[in-house]
Amino acid sequence: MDGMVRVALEPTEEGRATPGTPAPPPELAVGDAFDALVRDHRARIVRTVALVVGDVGVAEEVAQDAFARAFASWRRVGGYDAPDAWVRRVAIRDAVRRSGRDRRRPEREALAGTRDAGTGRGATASDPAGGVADHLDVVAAVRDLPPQQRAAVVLHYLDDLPVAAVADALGCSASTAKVHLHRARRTLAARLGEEPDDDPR
Amino acid sequence: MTLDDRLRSGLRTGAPVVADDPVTTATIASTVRQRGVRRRRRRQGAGGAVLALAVLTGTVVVVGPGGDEGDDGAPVVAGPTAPAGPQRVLDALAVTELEVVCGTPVDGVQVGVVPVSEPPAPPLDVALLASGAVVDASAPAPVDVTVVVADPLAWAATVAPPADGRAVVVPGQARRLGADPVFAAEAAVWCPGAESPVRAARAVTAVGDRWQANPVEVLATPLADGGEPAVTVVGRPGAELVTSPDVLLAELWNDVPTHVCRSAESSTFASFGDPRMWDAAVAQHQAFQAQVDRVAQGGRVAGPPTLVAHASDRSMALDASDVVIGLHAVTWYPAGSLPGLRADAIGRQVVGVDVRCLAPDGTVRASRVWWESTAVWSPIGGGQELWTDHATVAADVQPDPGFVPDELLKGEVPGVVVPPPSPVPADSTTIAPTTDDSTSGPVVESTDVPLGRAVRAVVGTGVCGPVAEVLVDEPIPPEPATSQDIRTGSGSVNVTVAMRRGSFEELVLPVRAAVDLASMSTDPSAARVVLRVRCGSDPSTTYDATVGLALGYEGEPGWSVVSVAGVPGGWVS
Repeated sequence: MDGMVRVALEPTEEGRATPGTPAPPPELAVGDAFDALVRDHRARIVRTVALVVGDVGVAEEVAQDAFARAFASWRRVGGYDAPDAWVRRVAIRDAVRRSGRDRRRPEREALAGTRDAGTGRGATASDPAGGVADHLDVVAAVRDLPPQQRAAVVLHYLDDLPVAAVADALGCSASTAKVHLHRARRTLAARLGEEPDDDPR
Repeated sequence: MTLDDRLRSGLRTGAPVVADDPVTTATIASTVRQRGVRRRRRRQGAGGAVLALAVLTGTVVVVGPGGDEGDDGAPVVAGPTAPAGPQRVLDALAVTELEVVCGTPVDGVQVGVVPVSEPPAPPLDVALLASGAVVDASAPAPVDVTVVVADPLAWAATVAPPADGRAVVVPGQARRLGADPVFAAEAAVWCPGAESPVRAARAVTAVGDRWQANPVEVLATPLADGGEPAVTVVGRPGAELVTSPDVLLAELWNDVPTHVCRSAESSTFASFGDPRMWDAAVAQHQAFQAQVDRVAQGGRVAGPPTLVAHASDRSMALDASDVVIGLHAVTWYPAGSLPGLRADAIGRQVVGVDVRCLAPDGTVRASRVWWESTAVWSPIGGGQELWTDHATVAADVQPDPGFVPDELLKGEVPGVVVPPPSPVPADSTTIAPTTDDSTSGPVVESTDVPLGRAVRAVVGTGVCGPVAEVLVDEPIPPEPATSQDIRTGSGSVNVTVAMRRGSFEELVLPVRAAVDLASMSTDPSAARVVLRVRCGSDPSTTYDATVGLALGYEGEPGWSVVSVAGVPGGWVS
């Protein structure tokens, strides 16, 4: 329950306007600015969320809800340095929440867990499809992670967010985010037959 | 390659392709903006707003007299972040009673009337927050407040069985279907005589600013003279819901006992406007139902039809004035059990979705059937909510002991004849056949497929005919992708295309495939297939995709000639 309530829509460090940040120029129509936000960032957010929720349709829904919330609060959100980060944060938290409460998830994950990940190791000249198999393995392995870890991995490896930004997006401390990433990497290394590298910073 | 490298590469390549063309973006932005505005808009007597807002927020929302568009005056939205929570909103609305007609089955929540003079107890708030409930206070205060829950079936199961011939209906949330203003609303319906509630869902749509969806009531007559119960679904007072006793439209029933389904001549939702539309819709539905019945009676399905579905094809060219009236469902076919539908070698369960769109003049704008593989593909018990590219499917997946599709691909199914791959000219879009002993079936290697670099194609067979799979392992240049990209060439061949990414089990949602049947005939040995893979997406995005092409031939027993692009459908026996 705490998790539900904690999914507040208040922006945190990344997206919040810094002191003295000028508001968007009044001559810039809200619609234009909002459209630009959607145009520039929707695809990436959907893509990220899709890897968290495991379903593009749900991801689009999550993203659209996040954008709708941004629009509803555009007077505030539009003034942030990075409104896209705000939207991403809302979407990611929603995605994690949905994943966590999805009672069907264990079944799906159990199914996914039965697959033999770790067989694909990249394409070769003689086996060009090997790369496909490896991608499938990676995605399948990531999808088996718990929602928080899954989101952390996606944000870090797909969106190239540093640990601090991952923590911000997840609404947790940097140390907690590190723990998520550490555990995720340990799990993924085992699944994919790799030796874990050093944890990201 | 280190773990980090592998994860980066795998996720970036394995991430889904997200269509992001300007038209799509503009549509989405516009939709979001409209929804954002609507969120603040005063709505009186429009119970359907509850559904719309459920979609909007997924959290506690109170809709009430909040002023006109753009007016940020009175609070109309309450949620976890509202300054004072729902109570302030209820106060502002002068709500005197809060009738919780349904909620989530969590501790401390009671069904009944909660006097607002006694502020909702914390458990109520907690319940609302937990359930993602929506409170509809759209009518002029004082109002009844309807809580729409995320899991109506679970909640309905906690209430007493229906009595006096009146069904228990627990409205659920609506879910957006694609970018079109079409939503799937669901509810739990507990019919008299049934042992448990069942999930019902329907597609709802918005035309202009009117949300044409409303919570419903199901009125059911008791069993009389040993006959089947008659069930009528009506809208709530004030709802823009038209009830027709003769139409089964825009409706899905899942898990409804068969005898209820079969008596559904008077059982279901009808909606949306012009009665002139009904005749055409009824005719289509009847034809459709006949197909379903035939399948069921023909013993081709392991078990009775257990799934009906609603869908919105987001790729359909829906105008704002169009009304989606028929989103019909179909049966849940175990792979391989129904030749010709989708019994290909991929081995997934299939869902057929019939989407019908009527123009305001009553003509059928589109009538097509998409057969899509589903997100969950193996036998799993229990209710499943599945999403496909074009459909939201609420399904109760039945275990299928015969779910062993690999044999099909390997050509090991007795009696299945594997047609040899036909010679294909090696032009720029041709997959030339070769042989590869490492696979179980004939293999064709691509020589040059400029759209997509098909590096490997496997031609096998399903019970419905040849099956081609093309692995694409190169960035595919962006191309406009619409449903029109899937066509039949001669009209004599039915084609089903599914693209997957990530695994065999997942459908690639935004990716479209275009299949031109340059030359087909009813003779499988003479079949020639040219695959063109088009993907409308971010050109910087790379992805892997598998194209499954299932071909069936008119005249082949059991083959369902579905209606595609206006080609009349029918059954071949």
